[in-house]
Amino acid sequence: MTPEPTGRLERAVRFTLLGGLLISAALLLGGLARILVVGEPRPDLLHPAVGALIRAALGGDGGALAELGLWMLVATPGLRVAVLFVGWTVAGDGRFAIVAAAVLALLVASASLGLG
Amino acid sequence: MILPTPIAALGLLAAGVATGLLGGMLGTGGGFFLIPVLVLGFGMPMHYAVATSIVSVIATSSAAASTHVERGTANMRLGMVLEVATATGAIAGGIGAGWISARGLEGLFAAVLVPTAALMWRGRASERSSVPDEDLPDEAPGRLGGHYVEAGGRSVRYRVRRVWAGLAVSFVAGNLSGLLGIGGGVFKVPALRVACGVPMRAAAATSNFMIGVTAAASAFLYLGRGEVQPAVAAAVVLGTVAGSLLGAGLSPRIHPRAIEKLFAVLLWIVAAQMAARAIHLETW
Repeated sequence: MTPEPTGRLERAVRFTLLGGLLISAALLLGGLARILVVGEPRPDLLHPAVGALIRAALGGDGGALAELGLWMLVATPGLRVAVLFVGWTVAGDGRFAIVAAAVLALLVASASLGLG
Repeated sequence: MILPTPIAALGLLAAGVATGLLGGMLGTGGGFFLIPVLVLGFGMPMHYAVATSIVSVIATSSAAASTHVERGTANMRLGMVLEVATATGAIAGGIGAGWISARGLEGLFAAVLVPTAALMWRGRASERSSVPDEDLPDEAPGRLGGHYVEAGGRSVRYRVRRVWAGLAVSFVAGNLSGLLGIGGGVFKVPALRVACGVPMRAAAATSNFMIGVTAAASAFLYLGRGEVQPAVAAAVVLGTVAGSLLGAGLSPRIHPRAIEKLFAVLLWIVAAQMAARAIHLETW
């Protein structure tokens, strides 16, 4: 089977990668600007809940905004794997869909280990 | 939280641009360049530098891979198969970091990198290997093989050989990524090129495609431990995104042999650095 050069799946993958990157870059830029302007970092928190981070970011906390950007960035490769899983499943390419599911499971396991 | 001054933030941004540029052109994450810059240039503690590097590696990969995927040079099927090994290795590396001597591993890096760099410099794979870069008009590329069109319009088809070797090297590269915060592209690109017979441009693009997953597998652990400093990482990542997009754009204008030569020089530098650290000579 010859992989087609730039098909629908390739465009979906590109959109996912660029979308994740742009959202995280916007959050990081906003957070960094806020941190540099205000200059008052929030206390370090381990395993902050996403809800708490979003509330802090909406309250003008630059550190929380940047941290949300980092989470988005780290999640982007996993989203790309999920897109390929769906794409290969829909295309009936079961063998590679299973491989993508295995990679996705490994990433979920890693996130579980990291966040306890 | 480490709070950079505006001047330091600009410096971190510049370091990120340089890292992304290298990564985008060479198919690596650029961590081997960024970590010494952060530790030596910015006085950052080593474990924070490693954590920052692993996050920036994801940015490099995502930015460059999006371009490579659009161009058709990144082999997504091969990349996904190898990601099983590389993600497993990264998780094992993250868990085993406390058990294995880092200096012992650095010595092993140096030992593996030197002959690999020599192979890349001599261009053995592209000039004397039985697996040429040219199109294979009479041979189907198989399920894992690929096809892409060069900037000049030349079509290149290739078969993937010795997948087991690619899986083995990907596992080791993922393991090292989990331990040291690098993307592991320095190992994956030569393995794809020399062992699997993938053309240099496709090898670099596929490596970049894989590196994001490798780095994400360990980044979850670093983020969970609170070792990623948001302000510092934000400045570096923003620079990395710009540099990666630029690097991936420049990549087709550079001849594969030039990329191989540049890559070989970088491998020797990293090898010397690793060897020095392994014998307790502090280089950063």
